[in-house]
Amino acid sequence: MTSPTHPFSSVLIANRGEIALRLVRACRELGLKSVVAAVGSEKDALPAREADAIAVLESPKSYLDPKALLEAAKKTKAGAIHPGYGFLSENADFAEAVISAGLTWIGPPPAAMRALGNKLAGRAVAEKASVPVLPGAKLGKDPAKAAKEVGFPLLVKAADGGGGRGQRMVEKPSQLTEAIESARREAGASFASEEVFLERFLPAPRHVEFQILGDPKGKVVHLHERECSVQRRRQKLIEESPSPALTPELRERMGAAAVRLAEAAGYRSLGTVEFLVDGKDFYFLEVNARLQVEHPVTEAVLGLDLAQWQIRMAMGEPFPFSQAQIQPRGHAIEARLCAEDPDHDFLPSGGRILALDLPRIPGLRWETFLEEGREVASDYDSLLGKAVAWAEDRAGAIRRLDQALAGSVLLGLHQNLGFLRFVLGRPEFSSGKYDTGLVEERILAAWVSRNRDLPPEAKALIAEAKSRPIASGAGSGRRIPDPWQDLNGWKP
Amino acid sequence: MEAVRLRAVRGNGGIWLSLDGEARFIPDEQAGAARAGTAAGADPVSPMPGRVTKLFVKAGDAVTAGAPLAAVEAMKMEYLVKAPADGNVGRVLCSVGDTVALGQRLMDWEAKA
Repeated sequence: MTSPTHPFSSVLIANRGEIALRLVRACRELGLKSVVAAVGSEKDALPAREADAIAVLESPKSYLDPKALLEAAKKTKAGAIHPGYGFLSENADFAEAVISAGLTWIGPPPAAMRALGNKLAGRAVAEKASVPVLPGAKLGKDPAKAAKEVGFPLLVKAADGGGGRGQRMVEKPSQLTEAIESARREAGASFASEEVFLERFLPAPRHVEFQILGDPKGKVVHLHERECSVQRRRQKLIEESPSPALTPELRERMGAAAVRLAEAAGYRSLGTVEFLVDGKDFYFLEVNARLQVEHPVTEAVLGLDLAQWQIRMAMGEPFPFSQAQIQPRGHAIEARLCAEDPDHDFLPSGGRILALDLPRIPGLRWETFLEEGREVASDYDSLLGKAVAWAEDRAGAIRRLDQALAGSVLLGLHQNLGFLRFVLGRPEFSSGKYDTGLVEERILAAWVSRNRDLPPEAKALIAEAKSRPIASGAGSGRRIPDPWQDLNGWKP
Repeated sequence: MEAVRLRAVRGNGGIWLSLDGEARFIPDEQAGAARAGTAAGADPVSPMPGRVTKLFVKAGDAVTAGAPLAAVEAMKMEYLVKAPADGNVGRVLCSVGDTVALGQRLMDWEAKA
């Protein structure tokens, strides 16, 4: 491997959970030292244990505190900061502060983040680059008037938001005030700013995003699409590539639009251009100026390590492939494992992990920080990890993912493995002809009314478990399996 | 017929059963009673462990069914606790910023007769 001269040899990872672990491992493969920022209760969690060093943070809020993170980098002599996703990853002020402190920011240039990271600013750049956008407006002095101009139904959206947070749907004028207040509160709690704006709501669009990459020499390419229409409350659940909805012609038009947009903003590093697709039309939604949760889907179909390329480009290395050389192979699909209770309106759940078994299958990748005995707290996002399956075709990838989820065990808190499998098994999903209404309008009702009867073997197992001592799952790290505590059953 | 993969473990307040990946929770008797109380909707309770971010009412307020009473936030998601029926708010048992447990009573409630 040719190693370019680079200005840093260690990276502070200003994040936690599965993405922190992913980045620790990426650094190690690149011969870089990693420092993980962790709160006290996660000092012995997997990302911190695998990192070369730990920077202890005061509280979960410190992940949103630029000063605390810069101090952590200074103390641990890190030469670069990787923000991961969420937290401060799309905060241009933080990126600027990192650079001013003489460190390398592993992400887009602050100017490009400002031009695209904020959804309102992004719409303006899109319009300039002849990329179609939906009708939208700032709140201004008279939100009711602005709403009327945009038209109902509309969305109140956090300008600095992502992942559907700080977002409210408004069907009629009377709901507007409460929606704006509520979206503002959620935005303030999750992001750097409370600013919200209005955008027309499309009733049945598909959500398709293009991965973009801008290298240090200024070359911009797209790394094809990810179909992200399987959502609940605007949170992605399952992502796949290629999108079953795109014709080669539409893919080419959208990819070219994504590249035009990135070029117009002087974009470098990795990013994602999100579009809504409505038949043969597409509309710019927003840019996620960071590495995304679902980046392994693209890695699987392209055979590229995006997390490593993001770091390599921050070290000055040009991306060697041309647009024509970037050709996807096969089909990849990801499912997000979340701490939530699908039988009680998906309320967040937490608790100590009493049993964990994630099967290893060829063509399947797990990204998770979970371990038996670890406490899952409600301080953070509910994402516990993700499973990514690759196969020669879509049907094969779906089968592989389903088998992996079916063979998984995660006990001690409520989680969505059963619900994910339910979605994968529905004909509305396997047909490929779905939109963002799939889960809430066509699957949830069937899920709620499904047969929840337990097989007789399960009932016997429960009765037996009741007579057993309580599993403590105490401490952290892997617990030695106790055959008398974990009861296994097999129904042929 | 397809095989069903089962596993059971006791802890965290009950029996946890893995059924082809899906987690089912069979609470110990006590926990079961608490959840049943929640479901009956006698008093406004927190739907999850989290933090109270907003109180929309004060003691003595008369509210209609479905009106927002409080907002609870966890994992960066906000949930509104709504009035179970037309009625009056009794004592308010939490403040903004309080950490609350699943099923914790947020306020007393007098349903309209």
